[in-house]
Amino acid sequence: MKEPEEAYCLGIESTADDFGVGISTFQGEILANISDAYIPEEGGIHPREAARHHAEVADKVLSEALTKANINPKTLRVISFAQGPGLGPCLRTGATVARALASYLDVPLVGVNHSVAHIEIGKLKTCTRDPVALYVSGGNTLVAAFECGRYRIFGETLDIALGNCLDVFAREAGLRHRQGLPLGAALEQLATKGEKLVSLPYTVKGMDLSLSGLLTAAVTLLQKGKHKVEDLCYSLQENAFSMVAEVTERALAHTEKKELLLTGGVAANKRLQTMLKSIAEEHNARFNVVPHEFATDNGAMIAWTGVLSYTHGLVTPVEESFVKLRWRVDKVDVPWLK
Amino acid sequence: MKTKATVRLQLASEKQLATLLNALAPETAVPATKRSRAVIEKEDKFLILNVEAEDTVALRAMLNAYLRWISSALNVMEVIENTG
Repeated sequence: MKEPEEAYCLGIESTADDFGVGISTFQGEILANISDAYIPEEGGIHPREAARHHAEVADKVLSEALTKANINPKTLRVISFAQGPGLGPCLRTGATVARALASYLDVPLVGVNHSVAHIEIGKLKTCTRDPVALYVSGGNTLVAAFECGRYRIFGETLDIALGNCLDVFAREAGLRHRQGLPLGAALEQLATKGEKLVSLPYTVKGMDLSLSGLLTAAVTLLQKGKHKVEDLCYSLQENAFSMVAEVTERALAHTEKKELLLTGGVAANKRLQTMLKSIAEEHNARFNVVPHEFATDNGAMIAWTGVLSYTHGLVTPVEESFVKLRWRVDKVDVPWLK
Repeated sequence: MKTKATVRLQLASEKQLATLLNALAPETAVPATKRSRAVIEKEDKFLILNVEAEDTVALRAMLNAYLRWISSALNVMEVIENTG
């Protein structure tokens, strides 16, 4: 067992298909990061079924995390949870578990913004201080940077998220989850075999981008069967990644920040990493990618952001700990940054 | 057709009961839907869950949600007791 005088935060993630529990010290050492994913037999995430999954695995994931961290739960100093944004039934399940733990252990509760947590875990794990952050996942696509007390959004998707765009196309192409390999990774593998760039819509509007038209066009061409699926995967990635890269580059040029951070589940994509690395080099910025373990939704990022919040005076009274389904990153004060 | 259901749960301790009341209170204060509403109360060692809904489909959905939350909250309390 670790020394009881050390301070720990336990974080609960449940915004979408993953139920995760992470445990962090107040110094930022991640002692445990355990997740269990809801994988639908077919189609996308069904919020009610995902919530049912989360309720069923909560105790198992908690138990594994405590065992991995090797701490007595009664030494936990604070409980944090992803308060939003996310799917309502999933968020409510995680919030109820978090409130139960905080009440039972009689420790403070901290509601954490999921998007801020993705940025903060990326910064922690790559020793980044003040980056332009590109956060790309199944539910979010945004470019943000810190300015005047909050992360400000410099550009974002106007419709669907990048990860959602890739996942839907992958399902339409008949790809399936295999041995823990996400759909996006299966699509990426096929894309490496693509040889021909097929013309697809490219939609950047000011600092924002739109991916739904690109997806519809790619799926339509897939259904017509005139192109190899590898070429379509390749072309879809090239177009979508170029769009997010263009917006990211403009944010780098505007802010003149010297660090670029890629975070979120799609950060694992090597082609996207290559594009962004090249942009960072052109702007003399250091390029960092969140490590794979912390790229997808995870409890560790909620625990660490819980530490940052709690140590800067942010506590969420249990009676006010309602979930926030559409909690934007630019609505969150981040007093730990100056 | 308006429907109602009441669930009485006897709990092992006052602490478990107080914890459940705390954990569920925000969900009853801000229901996810207008088709149903839940009220939770304490009665000795019992937790009383009253659910009212516009129809039986909504009633079943809300009952299922609350019973799952109660179950997972009790399960994580057990983990805390059995660890460390």
